[in-house]
Amino acid sequence: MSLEILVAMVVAGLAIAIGAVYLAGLSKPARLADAGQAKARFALDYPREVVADCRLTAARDAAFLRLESGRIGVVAAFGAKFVTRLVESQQVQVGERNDELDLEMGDFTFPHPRVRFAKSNDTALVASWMKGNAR
Amino acid sequence: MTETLPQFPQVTQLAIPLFIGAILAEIAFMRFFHRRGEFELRDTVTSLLMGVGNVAFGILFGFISYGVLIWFWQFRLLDLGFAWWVGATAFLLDDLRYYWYHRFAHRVRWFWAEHVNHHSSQHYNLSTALRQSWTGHFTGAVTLQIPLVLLGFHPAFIAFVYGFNLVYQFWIHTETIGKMPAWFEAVMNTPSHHRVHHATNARYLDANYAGTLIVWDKLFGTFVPENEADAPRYGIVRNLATFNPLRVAFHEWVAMLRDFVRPGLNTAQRLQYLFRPPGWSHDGSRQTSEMIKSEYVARHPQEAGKPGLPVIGQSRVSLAPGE
Repeated sequence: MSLEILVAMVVAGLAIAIGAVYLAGLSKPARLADAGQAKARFALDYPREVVADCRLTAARDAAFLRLESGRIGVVAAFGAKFVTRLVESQQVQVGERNDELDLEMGDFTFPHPRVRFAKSNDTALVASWMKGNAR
Repeated sequence: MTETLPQFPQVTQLAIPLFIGAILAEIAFMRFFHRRGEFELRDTVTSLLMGVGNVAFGILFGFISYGVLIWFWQFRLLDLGFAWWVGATAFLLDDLRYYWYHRFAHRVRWFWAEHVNHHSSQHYNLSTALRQSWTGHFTGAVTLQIPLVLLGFHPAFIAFVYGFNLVYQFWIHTETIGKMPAWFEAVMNTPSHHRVHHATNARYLDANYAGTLIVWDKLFGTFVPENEADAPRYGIVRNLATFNPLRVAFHEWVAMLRDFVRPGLNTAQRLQYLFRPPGWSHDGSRQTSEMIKSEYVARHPQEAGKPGLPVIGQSRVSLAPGE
């Protein structure tokens, strides 16, 4: 097959498939109903960890869990699914701005999450966990 | 016998319209007939771009794998030619070769770094089938095809029949099809068997490596049937939070390199980060699939010894009943 035909077929195929998924309206962004759902989702991946406290973001697209082990659990919406992480406070660089936290977790597969909390108390609290006050 | 080499078509490239048509059909079944399945726009875009990257890397670097096989062709014991029965035999033997390649790809981190991309979506639909690796020509996995060449199967013929294997594997990446007839499920790889392979539930890890024939898993003790009480959760143990194809393609290579160069390790430990199973760590701070299974059984002792899970106190995994 010539390169021209292959490229044309690939470009048309991409456009048709992506257009169909878009038009079908099947994409529903994941959201956390409450802290209970966040804890349950986290427990699927880290069943040994015991959760001491949990704070949800304003959009309910992420939750931060203070763990009895002194570490922090993260549950974050990713498209229609969730991803979880178990992080040590010393791994995280935290930037705090109004009700927003900029996080740099040194994680190539979770680049630079930015979250906003409904209450500024929660912003300060989660920032303090990330800075090593999770115990 | 092979003085004139036939011009074999690129089966996977010819199948592109079939792939797109099948994705449209899957979406239609989900949207209009409420069949099981999920699509997410950005996830689909990433999967398709990974497929495009795979084709591009194949065009640019396919000569490496092909060149290795052609070099070995001069040492062939036989020259079997291109008869249909040679093609059928090549397909069967290459399917066995695929089983072992696939098993190594899940049990040796060096190969997993290439193959993990295919498992990196938390969705399981026909676009996931196209989420293919970019780095397969650099791992040395082609060495598993050398015995076929030495037996007398021409490298071009092997590439041709392998195309059919890949096209077969496309349709099994779906939740829209439940179970096939029992006789088919017994012999062939099916959507049900392959859902197990893509799942991260403890009982399903490291199971069902087959390409087209599931009998290889039954023969070599890696078959685990789908359990309706434990719906598959797709993806990888530590799921990605990025849709960026470059990060998807290279994340495990980056992680492996970071482990390899980290300070304070001896040479043996560095090498083990390359060649031990995914999840191995020198200090036990991470979990391999065996550890995940053992921990699951410790928390759910009633599940011990069931297919895919060890008995308590042992790391050996049970086979499916009758296997």
